[in-house]
Amino acid sequence: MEETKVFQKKKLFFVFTSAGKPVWTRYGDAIDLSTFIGSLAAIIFNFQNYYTNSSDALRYLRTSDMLVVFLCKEALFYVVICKISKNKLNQTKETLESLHQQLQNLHIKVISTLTNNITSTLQKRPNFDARNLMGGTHSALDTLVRTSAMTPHFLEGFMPVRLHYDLRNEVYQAFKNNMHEDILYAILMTPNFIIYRYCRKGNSLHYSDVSLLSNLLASYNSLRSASSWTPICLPQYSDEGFVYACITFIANSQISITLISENSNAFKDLKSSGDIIEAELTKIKSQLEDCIKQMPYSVSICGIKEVKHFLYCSKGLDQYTMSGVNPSTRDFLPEIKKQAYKRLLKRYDTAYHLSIFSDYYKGNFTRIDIYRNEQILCIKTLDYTLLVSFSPLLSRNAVYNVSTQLVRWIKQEEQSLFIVK
Amino acid sequence: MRGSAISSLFVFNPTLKPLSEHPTEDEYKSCKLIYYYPENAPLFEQHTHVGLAEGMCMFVQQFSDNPLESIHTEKHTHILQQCEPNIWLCIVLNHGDSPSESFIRQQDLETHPHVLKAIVDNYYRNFYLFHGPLTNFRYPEDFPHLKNLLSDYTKIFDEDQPKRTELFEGFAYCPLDRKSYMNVMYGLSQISFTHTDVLHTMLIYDGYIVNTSMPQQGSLLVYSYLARDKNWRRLIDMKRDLNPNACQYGRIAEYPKKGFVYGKNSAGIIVPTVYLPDIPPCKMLLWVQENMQLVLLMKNQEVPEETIEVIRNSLHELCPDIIKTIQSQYQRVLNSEDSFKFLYFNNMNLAIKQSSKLNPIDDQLYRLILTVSAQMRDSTQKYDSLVKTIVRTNIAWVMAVKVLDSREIYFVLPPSTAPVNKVEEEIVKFANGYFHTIFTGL
Repeated sequence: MEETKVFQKKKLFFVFTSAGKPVWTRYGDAIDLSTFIGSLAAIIFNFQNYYTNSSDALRYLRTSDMLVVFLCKEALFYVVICKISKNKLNQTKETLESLHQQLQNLHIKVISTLTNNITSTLQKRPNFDARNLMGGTHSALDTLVRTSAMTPHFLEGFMPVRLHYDLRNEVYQAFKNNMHEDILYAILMTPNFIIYRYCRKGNSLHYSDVSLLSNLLASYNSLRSASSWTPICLPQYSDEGFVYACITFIANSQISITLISENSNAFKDLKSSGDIIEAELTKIKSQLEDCIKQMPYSVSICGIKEVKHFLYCSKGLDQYTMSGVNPSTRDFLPEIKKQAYKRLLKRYDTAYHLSIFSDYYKGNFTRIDIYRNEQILCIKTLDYTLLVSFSPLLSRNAVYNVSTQLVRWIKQEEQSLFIVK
Repeated sequence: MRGSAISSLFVFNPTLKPLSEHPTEDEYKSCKLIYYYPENAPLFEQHTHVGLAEGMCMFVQQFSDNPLESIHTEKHTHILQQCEPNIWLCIVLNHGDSPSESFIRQQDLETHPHVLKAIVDNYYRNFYLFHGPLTNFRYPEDFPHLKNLLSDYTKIFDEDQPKRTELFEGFAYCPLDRKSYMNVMYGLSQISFTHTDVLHTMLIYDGYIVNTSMPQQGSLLVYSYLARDKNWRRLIDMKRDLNPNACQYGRIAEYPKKGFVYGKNSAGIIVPTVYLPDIPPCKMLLWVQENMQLVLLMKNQEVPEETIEVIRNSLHELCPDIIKTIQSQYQRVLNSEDSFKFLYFNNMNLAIKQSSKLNPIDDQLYRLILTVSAQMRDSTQKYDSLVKTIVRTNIAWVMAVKVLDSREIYFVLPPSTAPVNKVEEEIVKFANGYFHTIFTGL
């Protein structure tokens, strides 16, 4: 694709080394864009050394209709050029923080593919061409970018499938009874949904590593053909090396059993555990699939008609749940259209924004924003973050009461909305 | 921006070419640079910064038809603006070294587009006020003089910048009832009627604007220079000597209890030429008496001593009544304490009203209000605009309302565990009484 055609796109991503060598671009050919990428590297360098005897780091620049965000990670640089519009309905309304989070996610994915050894390699050999190592990942990176743009950037967690407690408990039992000692993590998941996850005692599975696993399953159809044994770097666990994932799909289903171990020789044991778990879960496969088909769930399940949409993040569990939308599949129920959701994300971000500063949040933050066509409530406490959309005509008294009711409902339904054990 | 000093500031014109027959590369770079601050910066650094600014402007042109506004690094904010055809101004603010793991930093609560634009506008307009457009200075013969003026002016600006505390650029209006206002207007009209050389007048009392006949932008410029944030005190403290070859910003001989600041005083006749938007260049007289400042913009390019004396006699006669009318009302309002902390700003007439209880505004509250204001301005689509927000933080409750897309009002209450609906009820009750002439229910 010609440079001018590439530059007409709404959102461009560039990954390159500190020496200006392209690693990945979302559009166009990295070689054709190498001059442009070289100029990006030069810009970053110039601002790093803007003043003699002082170092700095470029973060972003803006015009009235464009944001360019930079993320500099030692030897790897990430840039997004995004055209924003306040006025046009179908233009992107992405925020600075959202774009930055997308760059962060790209970095995590790159490290997951290359491990952090790439940093020391590039520092020793600045002209090293990392493009070949990234071969075959374009689709995965593109999917990651699309998913990230739809996911609330300010929430730290993943979204599990809504599952009745008894059913989740059966899954839990199936895993618990068949955990080989070499299993570090075990996840029951589809490419787009997490049904259950297990962690070996003393370990936790970071939500960004969960996203990487989802991205892996979503991007590589070859993993579905038979049991796969694939190395993967989970940066939050360790960015220096690989762990090994044994992935088994339940027959005639999108549901996979992913077992992860640090032991590269553990395939046989993990496959064996996976087979037993599969046999046990086959009995409830159709029930699981029914629950997955019901995602995203409608806001009406909370039984509170005043609520148009809600997003709840449990801090202790590192998980969130949301009505009406599944960000990873970009599925929208009729109650909330795609453009309305994008606008909602921006409004949630506006409401949440001040709470990231310790000046304004010390365990308790509340904000209500009233627009002409909507009212947004944000509550942030030590336990949870809640964002809700209401009609603008609802009184503040009603908003207060309804939000209390909603939190109560979520707490009651916690075991079906989240993976608690 | 509060607390942010200037790291560097430069003015450049990328179209300027060196005059020598075989210019060197350095000469090409030097001729573009009209002025750089700090002046002792290494030359290669100055050239690099200008080149980088030019390069960044061209870089964004590949993606946007709109000009580059700002560049944000961890420690600095670079603001760029084309202030005149082919003349660019770049100001680099220093936020200090405050390591943070988060991408969004405290400085981002203050570097909203409209705030950054105001900083650059402020620099440019206050220079323009006394020296007119930069394009009036011919290249190359006038450039050494221009450089001296900018040098003198920038040092003042740099000292002043971190001290600026106001949230909005506007006018604090003097509280006068209709009858008093008409009496004051009568007095002013007497001056204009008697002295046909007077093009415009502006009357300010203790930093509050009473009346102006100038267009809005010109009024704002003169008001900001003389009165906003009690700026005349800064002018007095500056003690700048009367050097006609230096930048005239802030050069006053004296600030008497009664008499001319610009006009005829003990130092002689000092009547600067001022340049204001939408008005041809004119001479400015400034008469002060007690807490009053009366600005007279004169039609003619020369104001003879006799004219000044005649005006002086008129002002001796007319001003006491004007002051008396204003004073009694003003004192009454000044002594009354508002029961709420609030801040009001009207984007159309630039009126600012700040309650007595909300003075001074601390840094945390300042950033909070600034951010909410920027969020309210963020969208111009009617259906999409944020019209009201109620936020509880650990420092305060703040309720912000935007009415008719031009008026913003902020109410501040101490932090409490009261539910949001109760807080809103309390504020609305106050607002419907106090602001009943402006709002018809919040």
